[in-house]
Parts: sequence; structure tokens; C-alpha cells
Amino acid sequence: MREPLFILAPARSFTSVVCGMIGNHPEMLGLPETNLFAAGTLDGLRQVHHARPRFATGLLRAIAQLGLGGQTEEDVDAAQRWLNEQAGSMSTADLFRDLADWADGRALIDKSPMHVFREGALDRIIDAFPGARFLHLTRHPRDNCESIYEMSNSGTLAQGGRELTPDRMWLKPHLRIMELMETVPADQHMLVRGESLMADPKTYLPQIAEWLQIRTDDEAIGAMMRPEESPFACMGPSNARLGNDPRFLQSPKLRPFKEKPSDLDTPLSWDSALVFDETLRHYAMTFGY
Amino acid sequence: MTSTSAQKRSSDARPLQLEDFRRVEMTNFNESTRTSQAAIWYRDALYVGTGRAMLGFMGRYTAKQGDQAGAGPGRFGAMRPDTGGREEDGAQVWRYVPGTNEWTLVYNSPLVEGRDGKVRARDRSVRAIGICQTSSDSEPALYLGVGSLERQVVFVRSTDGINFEECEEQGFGLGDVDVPSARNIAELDGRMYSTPTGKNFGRGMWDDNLTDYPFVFETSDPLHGHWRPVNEAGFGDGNNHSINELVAFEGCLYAATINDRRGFQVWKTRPEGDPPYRWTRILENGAWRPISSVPSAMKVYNGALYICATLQRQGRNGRDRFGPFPAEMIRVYPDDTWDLVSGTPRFTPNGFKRPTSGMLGGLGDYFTHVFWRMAEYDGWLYMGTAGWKWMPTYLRDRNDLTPEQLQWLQEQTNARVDGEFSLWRTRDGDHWEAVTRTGFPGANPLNYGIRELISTPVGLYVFPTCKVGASKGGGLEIWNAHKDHL
Repeated sequence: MREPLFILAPARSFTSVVCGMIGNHPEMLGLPETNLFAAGTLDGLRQVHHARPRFATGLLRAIAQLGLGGQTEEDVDAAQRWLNEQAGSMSTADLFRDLADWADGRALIDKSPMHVFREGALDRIIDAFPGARFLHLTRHPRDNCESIYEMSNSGTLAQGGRELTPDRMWLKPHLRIMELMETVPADQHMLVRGESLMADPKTYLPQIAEWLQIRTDDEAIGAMMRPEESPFACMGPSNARLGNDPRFLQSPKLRPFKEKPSDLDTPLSWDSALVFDETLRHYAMTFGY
Repeated sequence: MTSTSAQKRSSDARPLQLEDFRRVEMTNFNESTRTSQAAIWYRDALYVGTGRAMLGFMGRYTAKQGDQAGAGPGRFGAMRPDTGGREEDGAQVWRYVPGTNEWTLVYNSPLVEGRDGKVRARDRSVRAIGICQTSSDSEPALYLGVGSLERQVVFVRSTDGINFEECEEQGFGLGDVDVPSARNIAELDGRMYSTPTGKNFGRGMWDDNLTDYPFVFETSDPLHGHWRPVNEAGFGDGNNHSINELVAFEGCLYAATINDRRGFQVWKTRPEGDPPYRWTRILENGAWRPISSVPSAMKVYNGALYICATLQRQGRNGRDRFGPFPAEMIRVYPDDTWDLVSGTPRFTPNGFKRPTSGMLGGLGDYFTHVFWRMAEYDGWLYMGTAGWKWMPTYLRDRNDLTPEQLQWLQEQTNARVDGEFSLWRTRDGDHWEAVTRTGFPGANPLNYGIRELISTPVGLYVFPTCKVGASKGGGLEIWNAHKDHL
């Protein structure tokens, strides 16, 4: 099994398109949001799915595509049955290994934002895959928070009933990621500023490929510029429609991106009391914002 | 690579070892002296410009007596312990002849009446030094930029190393403004270049590294002043608060800025035509590690420019409390391409940069705050550091860290060795070996870094810097090792 790549970032941080780009490299395969490591066993994962059924969608699409070769409604039903048949004590890491075994030698990429919010998820990943690589992806805290707020208001992003604050939405996930990175050998993790990658993918994608020690030729980089070719870059069947950012699924092609100026000083748009404190500002500046 | 450097690299010179270093006997430096960041070899003698201890912690309490705080005299300063020396003790320049071990005081700060009516030393430290032969100098002359406690920077000049004269136009001729110090002296094509630094806001030291005048100044006649700026203020970036390093390299001038918002920048020009010259930015965003706000050293070696950078630390709050952040080293070539020598791997607009030394920041030491000085001696590049642990601002108010992370920081900090700093060496710029990681045996335990390194025909001189002056148990030390004495 080739060592997987985990893209770590809060929700709404370009994870879908970045996973789509890297995942379309001939040696890689980008998964939808499996949320696998939200629990350690399938029993635990079922509880997560019971509370939030939409979190199962990406995993079902992945099992259907990689295990059965398609994503029809029947395939997804079969994937659900297969999942139900697995022993409840089976670890989610073993299920991830199964997915890797079905990937025809391509290295898996997981980008589930739940992994940076859920207590213990990152530890489970590093325990199961100590040789994995980690791409820490950032987005400007203002744009990130505004986007999360917009998605949560539209009902397409579950927030668990907790208050949306910059601290919870942006800072804590990044602190959690950085703490994990302190335990990972330096050549296994990299930080990339999402806006830089989106604005100039032809400059940054070859560097990511170089870091991952995968092909950097024009054909391979060209494939990375076509995230829409991923089998997961589209709406799924009626019983598994999403499993990823709906906007990406509706329009997965790479579009020209120009970074817009954002500041760290003014309040967030929906609440004049929500400003970035000194700690958040420090980390934002450290990431280049 | 130049033919000279190629010869050096092909030599079999044995590098200096820790046991080769001997402490130089020193006498009569005033008791406030705690550091030197301006030493040079000139006319067969070593010249040591000194810096006195601050008048209060980080100088801020005395500065608050000035215009900035609007407070009355003594209101804050008197409440804080000073760090050594009398107010009449100021900056000095000493001349040392190694053959006879003779020290001669060749410059001493004049005493002046301060703004509060008290008589005290005018000059706090010599921070810029250089040998220049401008079109107005008949021979190479020694120039020093002498920083003031409450007035303006003064350039002094000597052509014999014995007699010094003050140059005209204090404060770069800018008028009655707050320009207390100069950071660098460089020479290129018969012109002398320098950069202002520091803010006093009356008297004391409000900030050592920032300035209201982030310019490179040029003159062909430093004795008479005639300074003129050769760049747009801060190179047009309002976050460039100072030009902290300035060197000439391959016919060009390189200026590195302090930028605490986005990270340091490096600008380059070939000074031709009338100023302002056309400058090109060759590095920005702290070499794409924005935490590196301040360039701490630049040195030409083996056909490349080595640039060291770190987070500026000037107090106990603000971003200081988020450290430690290990220092980084960049290597720039004349064609503007660059390597990361020591630091965090990164994706950049110029490609994937991994440390050529194989070591992360601090040459692998997480607690190395700054690569402070570099010197080439006998075919090797030496580099001196200072650490974070001696002033662990990063242990306070860390709500961003888990208890486990904080405990680790505390344990590492507790493992500090008194007087520790590192001295490193390399021949090829990539393979670094530590001469020492814990300072010099027998040195003052209050030392915390190497503030100056000077290569001379009679050996490498190392200048540890100390927290306090001799009156408080510290003081400047000078150490020497000579290849022929090995």
C-alpha cells in the first residue's frame, strides 16, 4: 500500500478542489469526504452516521466506486450492505486500508474536514499511518469564517448546534493541526497557503508533486489541472448525492482565481462583536495573511 | 565561484576548535559596556566599538520619560533596576594591538547636558563600522556610526586609527528629527552607504531596530555629510520599518528590511545614474516564512550572499510570547536565485525549497533565536548565534498551547546552560559543524549570544554579548583563536 496523503484544514478551505487536483495525478486518487477517522471502529462510525447521516455519503461513494466499480444507486446500496456486514469492531483504519487496496496502486488522498474538528481523529490517523504525508492547507480567516457562516446558514454545513466563532471555526483546527505536525517528521508534512495554490496552480502543483515524490512531467501536472476528471467530482446517485462540497460537485473545473484583499482588523460581517483576537491574528500572519 | 574562494575551498585548512579559543585580556572599558556589534581590523590593529547596558529593561522605561509617554522625569525609570553602569558611561572605541596586548581608548562619548538638564554621556553604542575610501578620501578611512542616547547619530572618522573627528550633518542631515543611530556602513564605487535605525522619543531607547526613516543614504563625502536617500521610503511598503542589513555584492547594493507584518524583504540595486536608484525586490514575505520579520545578518561567502533572519524580539509581549521560532538562513546568488540553507521546507513562487544543510531552523536547534554574525576565516565561514531560552517570553499567557506543549517548552527551557550560545562553521555553506553549543568554557555565565565576529590576520575574534555591564557582574568579553597557534 502506498502511503496516503491527508489534507488537513478547516471546512471551506479549498480542500475539495485541492484534493481534486492532486487526486487526479496519475499516481494519486482523491477520495470524497470519508470522515473515517471521526471514530476508531465501524461501531463508532455508525454512531456518527446515525447522528449525521450525510457524513456517510462520501464513504459510501468511495466504497462503491473503488470496491464495485461504479456509483449507481445499486452500487451505493451494495456498498451500504457491505459496510453493514463488516464486523463492528473492525477499525476504521482497516477500512481505509481496504480502500487503498482497491485503488490500483494509486495513493489515497483524504480531505475530510471533520478530522480536524473531531477530538482524537488526527491521533487515530497518525497511529494507523505513521508514514503518511500531511498537507496543511490554509485560507484567510475572514474569508474562511464568512464562507462557513454562509454555508451553515444555507443548511449545507452542519455545525452541531454550537456557536460559530473565529476561534472555533479557524484557530482551533489550525492549532490542532500544528500540534500534530510537531510529532511528524519534517519531510512528511507541508503547509500551503490555499490562495497561492489556487491563484497559481502551475507553479505550486509541481512542487507538491516533487514533495510527494510522484511524477512531475507535463502530462502528470496537466492531469492535476483537471480535477473534474475525478470519479467523485460530480453529484452522486440519489441515495448518495454529495459527500463533498456541493459547489465543487456542481462545478468542479478549475477556474481562474484571483486573491482578493482581506484584512485581519475589522469585525466579521454578521456580528460586529466578532473580531480576531491577538492570538488568531498572530497565526494568520504566520500563515501569510 | 571566484578563483580566491576556489583556492580556499581546495585548501586543507584545519578549522578552529573550541579549545583553540583564548580570552583576550581587556582593561579599562567602562563598567556599562556589555557588548560590541562594531569591531573591525584596520591598520594592523583591532578596533572595538562598544555598546553600553540599557538604562532600564529594554530601555523602555527611560524612554517613557520622553515625549512619547508624556510622563515626568524619573517617573518610570527610577522604579526599574538598570542593567549596569553610570549615566556618564557611554560608547567607546578601543584600539587593540595584538602583538603587545596594548589597549588604547581612541574615542569616548562626550558628556553633554541632557534634555532634563543632567550631564551624561551622549553616545550609547557604536552599531555601524566600516572602512571606506570615498571619492573624498585620499586613503581608506575608518568610519563609525555612533548612536546617541538622546540626540542624533554621529559619524566619526579616522585615517590613522588614533585621531577621530566627527563628521558634519548629524542624523543624516535630516534636521531636528528622531534619528538616534545607524545600522550599517557599506562602500561601493567610491560612495559610502548607511541606514538609520532606532527611536528615542526624547531620550533612552524606545526601539532599537525601527526608524521613521527607512532609507538607504548615500554620500561621496561623508566627512562633510551630504547624505542623500537613494530609495523610496521603505521601498514603497509601509510595513518596511527599517533597513537592518546592507552589503555590497558583485557591484550591487543589497538592502534587507524589517517587516513585522509580512516578513523581511531583500532589495537590490546597481547604483547608476541619479537617485533614487532602481531597486528590485529579490526576496519578500520573509523568504515565504512570514514569521521572519528581521534580517539579522548578511555575509558574502564563496560567491553567494548569506542572509539570516528571525522574528524580531524587542519586549515581553506581542508576538514575542508566541515563540520560540528558530532562526533561518537563506543563500542568494548574483542571478537572484536562492537556496534555503536552514529552515522550514516551503513551497514558494521560486520553487520547492528544502534546507540544503538538511537542518530545519536554528541549524536544527529549535531554541536558536538568531544567527547573529558571520565571518570568513581561513577558508571557513563561522556563524555565531543567540538563543531564546535566556529570556523565555514564550512561556507566558500561552492559551494557544496544550498543557503538554507548554510542559515541553518549560522542560527545554529549564535545561538551559548559563552563558550558552553556539558558534558554527562551514566550508561549503551546506555542511555545518558546531564549534560550541554551550558558549565558551570559563566565560561569563551572563553571556547569551555572539554579537560580533571579526576575521583578522591574527585570528578570529569572537565577541559574546552580555545581559548587563561589568558593574552588574557582566561586561564585554573578547575571545580569539589563531590558525597558527593550533
